[in-house]
Amino acid sequence: MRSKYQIYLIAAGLVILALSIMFYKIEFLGYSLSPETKRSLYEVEAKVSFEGTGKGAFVSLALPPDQDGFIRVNEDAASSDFGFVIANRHGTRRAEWSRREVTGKQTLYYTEEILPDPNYRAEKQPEPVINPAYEKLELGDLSGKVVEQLIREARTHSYDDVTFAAYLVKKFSNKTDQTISLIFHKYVKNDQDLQRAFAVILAKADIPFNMIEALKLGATKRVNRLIPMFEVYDARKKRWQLFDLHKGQIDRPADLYFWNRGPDAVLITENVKRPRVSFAVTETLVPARTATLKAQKAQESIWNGFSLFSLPIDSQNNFKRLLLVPIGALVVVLLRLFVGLKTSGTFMPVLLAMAFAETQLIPGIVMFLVVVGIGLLFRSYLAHLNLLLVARISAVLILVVGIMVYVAILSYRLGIQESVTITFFPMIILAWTIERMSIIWEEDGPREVLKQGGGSLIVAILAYFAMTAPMVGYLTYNFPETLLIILAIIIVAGRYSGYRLSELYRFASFAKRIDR
Amino acid sequence: MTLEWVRPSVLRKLGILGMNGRNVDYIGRYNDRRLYPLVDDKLQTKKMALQYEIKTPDLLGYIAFQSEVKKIEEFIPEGEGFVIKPAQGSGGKGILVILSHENGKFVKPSGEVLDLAELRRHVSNTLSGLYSLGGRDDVAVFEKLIEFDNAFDGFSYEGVPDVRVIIYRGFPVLAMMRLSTSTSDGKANLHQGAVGAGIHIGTGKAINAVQFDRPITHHPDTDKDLRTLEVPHWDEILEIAARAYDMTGLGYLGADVVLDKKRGPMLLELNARPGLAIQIANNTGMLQRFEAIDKVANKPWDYKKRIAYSLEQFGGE
Ligand SMILES: Nc1ncnc2c1ncn2[C@@H]1O[C@H](COP(=O)(O)OP(=O)(O)O)[C@@H](O)[C@H]1O
Ligand SMILES: [Mg+2]
Repeated sequence: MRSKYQIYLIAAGLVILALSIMFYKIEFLGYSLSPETKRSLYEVEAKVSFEGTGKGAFVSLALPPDQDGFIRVNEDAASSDFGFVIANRHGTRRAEWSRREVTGKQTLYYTEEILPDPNYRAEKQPEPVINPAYEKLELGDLSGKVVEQLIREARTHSYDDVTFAAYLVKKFSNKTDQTISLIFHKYVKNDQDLQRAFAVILAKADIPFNMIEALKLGATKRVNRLIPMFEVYDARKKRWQLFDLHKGQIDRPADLYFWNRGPDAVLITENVKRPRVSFAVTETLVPARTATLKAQKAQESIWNGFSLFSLPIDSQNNFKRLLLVPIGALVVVLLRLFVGLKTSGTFMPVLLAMAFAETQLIPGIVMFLVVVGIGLLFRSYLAHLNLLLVARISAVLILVVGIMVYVAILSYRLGIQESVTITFFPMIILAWTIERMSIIWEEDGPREVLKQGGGSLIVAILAYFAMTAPMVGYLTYNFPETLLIILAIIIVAGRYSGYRLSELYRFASFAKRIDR
Repeated sequence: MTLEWVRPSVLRKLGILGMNGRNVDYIGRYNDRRLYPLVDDKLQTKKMALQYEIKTPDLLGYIAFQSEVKKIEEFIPEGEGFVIKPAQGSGGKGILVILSHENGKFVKPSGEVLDLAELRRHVSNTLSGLYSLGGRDDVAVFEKLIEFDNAFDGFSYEGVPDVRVIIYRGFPVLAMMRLSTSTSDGKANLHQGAVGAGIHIGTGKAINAVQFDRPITHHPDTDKDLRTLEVPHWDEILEIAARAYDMTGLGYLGADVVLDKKRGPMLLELNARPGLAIQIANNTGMLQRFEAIDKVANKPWDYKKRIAYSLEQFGGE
């Protein structure tokens, strides 16, 4: 029995190693054993579309400034065969694409990932001076007289720049006022015009201000327009005060992200037709820890430890799933060795469980039963065609794919969302399962099919619960060294020579008969 | 059906071997993995048996490549029954028993008739590994049909019964006759529904019979009283089984022996992972017997001495 002790020794070694790594990470790297609070990470995508005119096209898109409360962790511009630069115009960053001879529809993308952080302060704020570019602004042929009169009136009703602007907004909200209603009638069709009207007046009054186009973050959505606003420098408090075009002075909401802060339009183009910009916001909840690391990386890019967090986010997701496979294997081992469940194919249930994790449990089970059921019927028909094994399995595989496509379309029509994800089903494994099941049916009868099919399903369901438990996901992902512990358990379980639960039942009547 | 349970301590006291115990303590310890091919490949077993002058069913030939499938007729004996099996199959999977054939019509034990195309497909499936361990490519073996001894008339339905003897470190431990039923389709594999009748090591007479792990007294198809079963040539069967150990070196072994009307006992196949139901069929656990053997297993005895020891230990009433 020397090898038995050897096993225990190895297992103990693995556990100790894993625990020490975990201890180190908790003690010195700030990891925590329980899932932390989640933070939002926003991916904002600006999509510029236009049509070429056959001439050299130029597209310039305002980019979000460095601003309080938001850390930009990533940015990326997709510019298929366009020349691309990030330029600075009037103190604003702009993405600028250009290309000779552009024809047809074109789409350009700019994406960034931002992390809201109330404690973050921008490196520098806009200068508290008026940008000369504003002085060229005009509102149609609105006469200087009207503007001056409005300024005079506002001055008398205010004692500083902020109250001046506040009065102005209030004034503009009163549409019964003759001057205002005239302005609205002639020059102001939308909020953009209104913003421009304020800008013209503020510039004339020599008040330091900025035009702002902002994006409301929040749940995942697609937005076509930014919210025009403006800000005025508060000399007393030494900070910029935000104004809503209708409500006046407001505190900046935490989910308001400035996309453009300056005199130029969000989108400026040359030689293109129908330019349009639209924005899509995607919110993902990430563990606070990931978020922090991302922010650190973006800010200093020195923290680059040997950690899964240093991988790009989509490969992180793949790893998340990968790290759950051993959990599934553990469930299989335990259920086979200690319970004695029979499965068709050793690890087929793990693959099934992974599929369930994508499709949700109930739709997944229904799908499995439907596919295997129809597959078995089809297979019993194929048996008459006298095909070679490879061809037959391929035929079943095509059927499986067909069923999936059909069910996906059908349930999409019925408004059931989950089924669209059924493509995650391990199709080849399913085809083989069908083939083996039909052999078992022929050779060992339906009883054995039920036993193995049912066994596989039960194991898959339990593996699903184990693999989708949030705590399990958290631990395997943050502490991949837990794999060593699982390995230790599996090694020890592999030497378990006691009875299985199923045997206590199998041998029951027999044992009672001879036990006298 | 009520669920019945038994405590593990009771099973242990009765010396009943469980699946994990079998795998870890016996197969893992006494069966060297490198020796498995000797028993997992029926062709190799046959070759080896030939060297040791142990009788086996006649080999008609084998097919190893899909391109040879069309030559299948060369291996079909004129006017006689035959069997096609995967060389690396187990548990009765892929075994096709043909009792007789005439003008391209092949009759299975159940009466079902196959044509040549279906036979070819079966062979082709076999080659693709459909019936084999782990699905690897395989060889289709053609064997002469065994005509079973008259002693078994009525005990087996539509198929050749075989005797399974468990050999532990060269000593016969338990034996069981496996009798086919209509459910098991001419094959004598228990989980396919064959009846297992425990056979007394000393006398060759039936002790008790089970089907699907439950005791029965009469054959479900022929209604024959199973307790009257008595296996002829018992000494010879024990000899074949015990010598299988010398042949393979596997310490925990199941030897399947068939009784042919004319040629007597023959080694059908060997099994490195024999099942546990044999305990139920014999009304006894095997662990105590293993212990008795462990006491003398290191003695350099030949098979005759080992059988004598088994008979002395387990052969009494
Ligand atoms: N040559 C044969 N003639 C008649 N029946 C056979 C023959 N070979 C096998 N069988 C039947 O098929 C069963 C299984 O065959 P076997 O060679 O033991 O393969 P397996 O490894 O699948 O158990 C036997 O118990 C017997 O009933
Ligand atoms: Mg057999």
